[in-house]
Amino acid sequence: MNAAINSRRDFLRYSFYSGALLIAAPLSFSSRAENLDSAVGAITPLIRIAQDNSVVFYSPSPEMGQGTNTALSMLFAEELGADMKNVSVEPLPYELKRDDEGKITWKVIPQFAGGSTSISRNYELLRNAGANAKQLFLMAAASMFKANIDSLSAENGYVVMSNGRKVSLGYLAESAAKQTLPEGFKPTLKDKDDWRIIGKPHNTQEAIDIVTGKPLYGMDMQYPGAKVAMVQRSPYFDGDVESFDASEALAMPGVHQVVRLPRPDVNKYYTYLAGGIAVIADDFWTAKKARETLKIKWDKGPYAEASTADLHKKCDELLKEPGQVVRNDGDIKKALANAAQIISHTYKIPLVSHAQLEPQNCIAHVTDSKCTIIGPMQSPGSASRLAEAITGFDRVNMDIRYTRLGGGFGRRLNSDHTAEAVMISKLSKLPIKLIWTREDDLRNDFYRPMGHHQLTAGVDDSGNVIAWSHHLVGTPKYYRRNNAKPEELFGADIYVDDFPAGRVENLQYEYTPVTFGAPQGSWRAPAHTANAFVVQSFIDEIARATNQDPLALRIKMLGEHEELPYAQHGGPTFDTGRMAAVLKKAAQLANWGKKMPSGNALGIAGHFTFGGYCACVAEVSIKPNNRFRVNKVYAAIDVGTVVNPEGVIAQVEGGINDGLSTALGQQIIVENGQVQNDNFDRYNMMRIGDSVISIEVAVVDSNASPVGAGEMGIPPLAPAVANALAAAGDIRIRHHPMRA
Amino acid sequence: MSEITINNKTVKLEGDSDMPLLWFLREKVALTGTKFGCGVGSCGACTVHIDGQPIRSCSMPIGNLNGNNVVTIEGLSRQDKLHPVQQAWIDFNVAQCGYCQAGQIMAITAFLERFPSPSDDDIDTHLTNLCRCGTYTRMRKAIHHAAAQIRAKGATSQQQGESS
Repeated sequence: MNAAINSRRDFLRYSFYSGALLIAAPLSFSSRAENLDSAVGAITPLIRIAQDNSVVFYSPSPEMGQGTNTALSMLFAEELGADMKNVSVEPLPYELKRDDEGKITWKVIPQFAGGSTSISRNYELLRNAGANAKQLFLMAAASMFKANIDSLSAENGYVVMSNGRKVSLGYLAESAAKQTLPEGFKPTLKDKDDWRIIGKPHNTQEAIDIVTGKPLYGMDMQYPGAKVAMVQRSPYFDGDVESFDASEALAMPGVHQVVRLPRPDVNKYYTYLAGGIAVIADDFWTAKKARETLKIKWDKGPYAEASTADLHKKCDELLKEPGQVVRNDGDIKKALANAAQIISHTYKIPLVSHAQLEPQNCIAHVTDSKCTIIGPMQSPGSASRLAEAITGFDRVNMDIRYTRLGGGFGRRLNSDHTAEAVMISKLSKLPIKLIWTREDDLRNDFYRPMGHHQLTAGVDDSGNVIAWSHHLVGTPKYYRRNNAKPEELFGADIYVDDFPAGRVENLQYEYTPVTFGAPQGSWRAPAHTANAFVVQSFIDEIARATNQDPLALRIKMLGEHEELPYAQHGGPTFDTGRMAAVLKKAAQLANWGKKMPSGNALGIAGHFTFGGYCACVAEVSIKPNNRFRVNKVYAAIDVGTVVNPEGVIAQVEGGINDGLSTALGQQIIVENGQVQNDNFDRYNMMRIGDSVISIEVAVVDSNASPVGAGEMGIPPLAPAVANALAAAGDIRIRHHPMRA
Repeated sequence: MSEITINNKTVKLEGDSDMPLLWFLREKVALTGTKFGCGVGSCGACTVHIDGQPIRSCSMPIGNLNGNNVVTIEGLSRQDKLHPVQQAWIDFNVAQCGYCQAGQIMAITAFLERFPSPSDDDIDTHLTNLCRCGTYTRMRKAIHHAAAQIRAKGATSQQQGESS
């Protein structure tokens, strides 16, 4: 294996972040590495082409279900001229380097997944890399067959000559690897009209491995000699171990060590989440039973009495006081005073957990000179930084490998689990596989912030919204974030350029932060889930109160087609015309305005999320016993140039069900300073029995720059359902969980 | 100690009798296709077949097993031929993160034995495995498709049986 690793490094001949050239293919005759260890031995930075023409693409974005393995390999394969049928995808091991000034930078390409950025970040990069790779194959073929390079092309896995003869990329790979691109070579990318792969539907590359149970996830990884580590963390936020007795655990056969994890610095942002006691044993079951025998006296810390019930009361009180004004257009007071009608409602959003199906886990091995980390990560960069802080080793030289993730949703943007694993391995001097139970996972999360939103609108005689005020009192995602000043805490919870900013002349956004001990973090489409629910529900309430059609009022408020400045993530502009277009498209699919049986109705909502425009129309039926069912959702999405339409549709469908699941039943409940509902029998996630029965998605293609699609489907769903319920039976639900 | 059959292989059960079958599969015989999700029999990610019944293996102590026939996701396809449910999962592109899908497929293959022509209500009532990615709508389509495939194949093999 070592020899192979060395040869791999030798072959990293052209690994410029600029994407100048990212192929350097030593021939490998094994078509597919079966596990991470052998993968390390065999690969080139981004692809490996074997003689049988099979292509392994090493993806720079951790795959967590968002479909980037497929979409990113399509970008590369399109320009290379590969045949997607021969392409498989594996995670690219994490690689850093120091540049000429000693600054740490990516060795191959940025490696990260979050904020629906994988497509926009890699769109040019990977097509250029694929085109550069193609050039090497053309050069190899030109030299081998004494042909003029301009007469050659590459398609479907072959280089094609002017006389029609074809030679496979696999056959040429060894020779191509010896070619060097001419100085200053700039590839010409294909025209959109010539695309054979991009823009065409492609199913998930790894489907066969998933349905046959192949080891793909961090939880499935094996590491030589690794013992299972499990941690009893403080059940209280910012609590700590006061004293403990592990004698019973240590006497159990199969238990190797017990180590204490100190409480993280409570004045800083989290490196990991809690102090506690780690048990290291031969296997999961032994570790779990040993953990149960620990006798720990807890220092309950500053939040021992905290409860979500009190938190909601506090929000109610603070909502009566003015908050920090974070956007102020026109004169809100005067406009409200002059309004013909004033409408005001309050909406409540709870803390929710990520609840990705694969609990946190991570393999770590810290020796005197080396740090190895293998596990599910969205941000290997943050994992390496935390590991550097813990071990003192240079993060450029660490061996970090992200696996497929059994769900991410933002949970694994934080690397608390990798930091914990590194710390336990360092303290115990053992290779360890850290496994969290579901209870650990629901009790120790970076929860989606909660908040109470008061919306007030002034409407004139003609039904025009002339004043809009939105006051959010909530737990800030930027809680304890490094360098976030108190007056900047709003930034991750109110996006000040969000609609209807720029479209209502007198508009004010206000924010009041509430301190609560629970860590807060990014949760699929972060603040958009809450804000879309309240804004899109409220517009519907205005429409009903003023006898306007909810769709017509939205279109009227969006106004003329215009690109409004949008300084937050997803900008630089918000295009009112694209928003109106997806609303109209979803409405058209649903036959908006159609007659429906009593107790059935449609509701509409649309939202701009991280550069993508998505609208949903929900069709609901009221059922007996205060229940309801979402029978169908019609959705339209515009994410600019579409790379994989099938992937976009799948993400919208998933977002719709995920949005319904979250709105219906989910909330984290804290009493006496501890999370109460710490498993799926008490934390109510949706099962198929409540899911949307049928979904129809229209993908609006355009020539606009592409953005991802992982988060856009979720924000409009909950308000569309709430609006449909209001239309169906005068039931206006202004809180999540809607079933509470 | 007792023996069981796992995917047609006889295996000696070793370890604490209260150890759930899930961890025996994952850590003692390296069959990691069966997933750990909750440990309390709620999410269904660990579903396997025991004597043809869908069982949540995280809550089945190995001490309760003796002579049973266990099939996991790794043993569902026969002679490299995918089960119609697995094939439908590929054809309908059901999986996203995929972590719950082995358990879903094991639960659904057993469900279709009981409900060869399931209605949407049957699906809603009898399938309770969790999926956070929200693939339920595709699952439903794929279930109906797989059920039709199985029925068609059953009819074909019956006809062949009658004619020979």
